[in-house]
Amino acid sequence: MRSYYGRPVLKEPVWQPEIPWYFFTGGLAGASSILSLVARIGGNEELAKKSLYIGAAADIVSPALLVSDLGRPERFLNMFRVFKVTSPMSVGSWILAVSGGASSTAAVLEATGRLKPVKYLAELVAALSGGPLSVYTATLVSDTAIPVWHEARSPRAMQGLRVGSPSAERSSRTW
Amino acid sequence: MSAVAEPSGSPAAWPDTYGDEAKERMGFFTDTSVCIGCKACEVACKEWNLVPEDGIVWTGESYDNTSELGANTWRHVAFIEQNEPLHESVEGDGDGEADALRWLMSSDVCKHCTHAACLDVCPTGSLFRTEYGTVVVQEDICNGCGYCVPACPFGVLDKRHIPRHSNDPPAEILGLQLGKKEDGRVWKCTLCYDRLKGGHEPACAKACPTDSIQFGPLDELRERADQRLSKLQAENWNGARLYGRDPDDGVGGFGAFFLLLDEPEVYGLPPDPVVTTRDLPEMWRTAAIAAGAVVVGAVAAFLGGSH
Repeated sequence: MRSYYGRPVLKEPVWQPEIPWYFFTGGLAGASSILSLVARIGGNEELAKKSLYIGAAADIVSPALLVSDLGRPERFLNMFRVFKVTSPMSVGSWILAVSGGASSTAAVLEATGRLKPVKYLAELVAALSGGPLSVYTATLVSDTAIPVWHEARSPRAMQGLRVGSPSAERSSRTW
Repeated sequence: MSAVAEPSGSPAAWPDTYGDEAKERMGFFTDTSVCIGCKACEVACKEWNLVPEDGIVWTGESYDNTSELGANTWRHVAFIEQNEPLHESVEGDGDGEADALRWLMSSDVCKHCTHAACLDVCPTGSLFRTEYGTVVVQEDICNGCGYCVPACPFGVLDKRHIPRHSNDPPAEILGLQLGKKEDGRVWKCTLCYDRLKGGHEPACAKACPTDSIQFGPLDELRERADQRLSKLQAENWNGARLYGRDPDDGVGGFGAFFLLLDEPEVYGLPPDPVVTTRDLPEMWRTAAIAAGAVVVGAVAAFLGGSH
């Protein structure tokens, strides 16, 4: 084993505990939005309503966690300067913006009982962006030089399923 | 998918994007066989670029007290003491070098990759490709997301964790002290973009007294490196090799490449660096399958619960 005084070649990621927490809340938000729409279509209004609220709450907490982790939080809007397909974080920021906007809109309209067509549209958008929101962070972490993250990129490894997703279903059903 | 498959910053992406403003691709050739470990490059870099102090410590690791590249170290001279001869023993030579000590010194720097992972993953567009083909962080745009730090296969980039100004109040948003007092942005070698703009060579190359650090058009440097390698090989230098010269390697060749006298690992360099975004389509495919599984799970949970 040859190395330079035993030092690692790579730098340790600088992400704070906010990021793993966001992995949970982002997965919760995405899966809840999907579950809400599925329940709505299936006629289970109670489940649809609860998972909509859970999803919207998680969608509001998520960006707060992400902004808090930035080295320059006051510059968080720079995430929306560009849309870069080579950067999963850029793609993910836009997904979160769309999903968060849609699910919180739907939740407010659900609570106030106004503008039903707009609410249904917002629910549809939230559900469609829910899938990408649940899984894009897997692409984000595997798109690094960290071997154990990068090597888990094949479908076989399937590390993409977020810890938040199964618990979204559980919390919606038992709430 | 083809747009994703092609990492940005490929040779085709510049100078095309610069049009008439495109310049010849510039870079470094660091010939470690003539490095004397004076650290003039480290000092010149710090002075010109106003890089802050990086900790005054005695590591006990030969003459190296900066240890590694980082936010506050853009040139790093590595020192390696070896019980190995400087020249390979030749059959019947018997020149008595068998128990010799050699002291390897190498000035490390950002590689300015042809396919730069840091640039690809940067979500703000702060990292960009200059008209000289170099990779630079725009400090007025970087928001300190830290994605480039684990993306770099060489561990070059890092976040700066020191106060912006000694009397700087922490940033406040809605009364929450979300901001840390630190600078919080990432920093790395710019290949002295400002000096290049003014027609000067980078500070480290200017200060190098032995021309171990050579600056120039990359094509020219590659030719010069090939000649230097054949000379050293003809003289039986132990372990002489070029590192990062090959345009077909995992990062498409370095803009700043090296002549080393041992395996890259010995200098703390990865033997086979790969730009992580090369595999991005595969990652998105896997994620898409996972997203499908989430939908199937939601439907299944609902169907199962509707009794």
